[in-house]
Amino acid sequence: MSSRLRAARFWIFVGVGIALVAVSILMFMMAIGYMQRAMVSTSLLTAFIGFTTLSSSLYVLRLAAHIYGVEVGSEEKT
Amino acid sequence: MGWASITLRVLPRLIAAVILWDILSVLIGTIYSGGFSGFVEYLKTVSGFFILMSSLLAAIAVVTGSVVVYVLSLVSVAIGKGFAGYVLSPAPFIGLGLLLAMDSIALGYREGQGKSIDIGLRGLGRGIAVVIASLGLMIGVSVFAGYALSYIVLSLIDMPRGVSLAADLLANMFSNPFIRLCIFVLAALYLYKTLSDTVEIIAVFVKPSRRLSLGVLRNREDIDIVIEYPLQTLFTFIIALFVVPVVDEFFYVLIRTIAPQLAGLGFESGIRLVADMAVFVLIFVIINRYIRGFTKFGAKARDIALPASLAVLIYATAVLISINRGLPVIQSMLNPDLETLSSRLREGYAAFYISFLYLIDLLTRLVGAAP
Repeated sequence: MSSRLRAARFWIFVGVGIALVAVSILMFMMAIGYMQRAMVSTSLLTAFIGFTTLSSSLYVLRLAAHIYGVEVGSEEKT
Repeated sequence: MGWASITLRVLPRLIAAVILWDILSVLIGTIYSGGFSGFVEYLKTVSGFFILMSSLLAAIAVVTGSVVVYVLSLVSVAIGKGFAGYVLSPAPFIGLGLLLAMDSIALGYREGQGKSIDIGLRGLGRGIAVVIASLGLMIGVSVFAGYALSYIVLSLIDMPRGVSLAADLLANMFSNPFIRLCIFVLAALYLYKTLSDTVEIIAVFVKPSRRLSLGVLRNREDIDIVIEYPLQTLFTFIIALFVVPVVDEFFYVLIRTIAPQLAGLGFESGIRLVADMAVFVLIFVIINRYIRGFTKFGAKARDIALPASLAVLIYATAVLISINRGLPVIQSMLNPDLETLSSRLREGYAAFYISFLYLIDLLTRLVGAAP
């Protein structure tokens, strides 16, 4: 596999993570909006989706960070 | 043991004792003056209960020198003083910083392996500046994230009040301090997980380390997450509701067979409710673990033990009923009395669900969520 493709794969991880963060922020804002319009269960469900997407984005970004660490990290003395 | 390690053990306890002295004095004063009746006096109010608990935890923190118990004591006293209308002074938080610093020094300290390093005044200043900057950054981020989260949670909690009649029950529930506390504890735990993950991501990007990342990626417990479908707890709860009356019936038939004199001691009324609930919690815990076993990749043969044991339990109960009717053991094993069992189970299910609903009603009244 060429190194360019490998680098692209890494950026796909980062892109997915950031997109998920954006979706979760959107969901939190929508949850508050729904609650203002007295749609309680819709709002709680939206907040739940927001928490889930935030967790998954953190998971993806963490994986990406450690893959980055393995690829460019230096072997330090112990 | 050298002086340094003795100091490292004594000093944290001393700091904890000095800082937690007002909280500790509650416990010591109560023991000296009234003994047991003094404790009862504290247990009468909510804030008194939390302050008494925090003073007990403070005593444990001073004895063990544990940072975690110190924090628990602080949280408890903050809740107690919050109920009484006071605010905590900043001194315990400075003490917490000192204790954490001592703890990390004690972790890395090796007896007789001390070495001195030579840094100039500039290097010293730089080191202190880095420590203060990173601490300030961490505190700033946590305060900001805490505000953001409390804004979200508070706006979610406060909105349904007076919006519509349908949301009235929800508003009642959310205005109850106990439920608010639960929501905030959950939110704080989630915030902690989120923040620690974020810091880890930033740290790895800023200073990539091959060894650390390989360690994390090789650790399968950390990387392979089991995907739990939502409302799994409710699912196992419903399954447990089905299973519990069968297990109950087995135990009561067993008691009647082995110790008939115990069956007369009110097992039909008051104690039965408590026993039912204890069995329910036990079954719930067991089933929860088994359901997790089913959803994991590669279920094992032992995962079938729960359904099989349930079938065995029903058979054993029917056999015990036959033995109670006076049949010999071999014959009752061949002719288990399933008819009596089924009629008893029908009554058992009805009684169990009635007592369960009664208990839920009582619980919601107790915490003030229902009128």
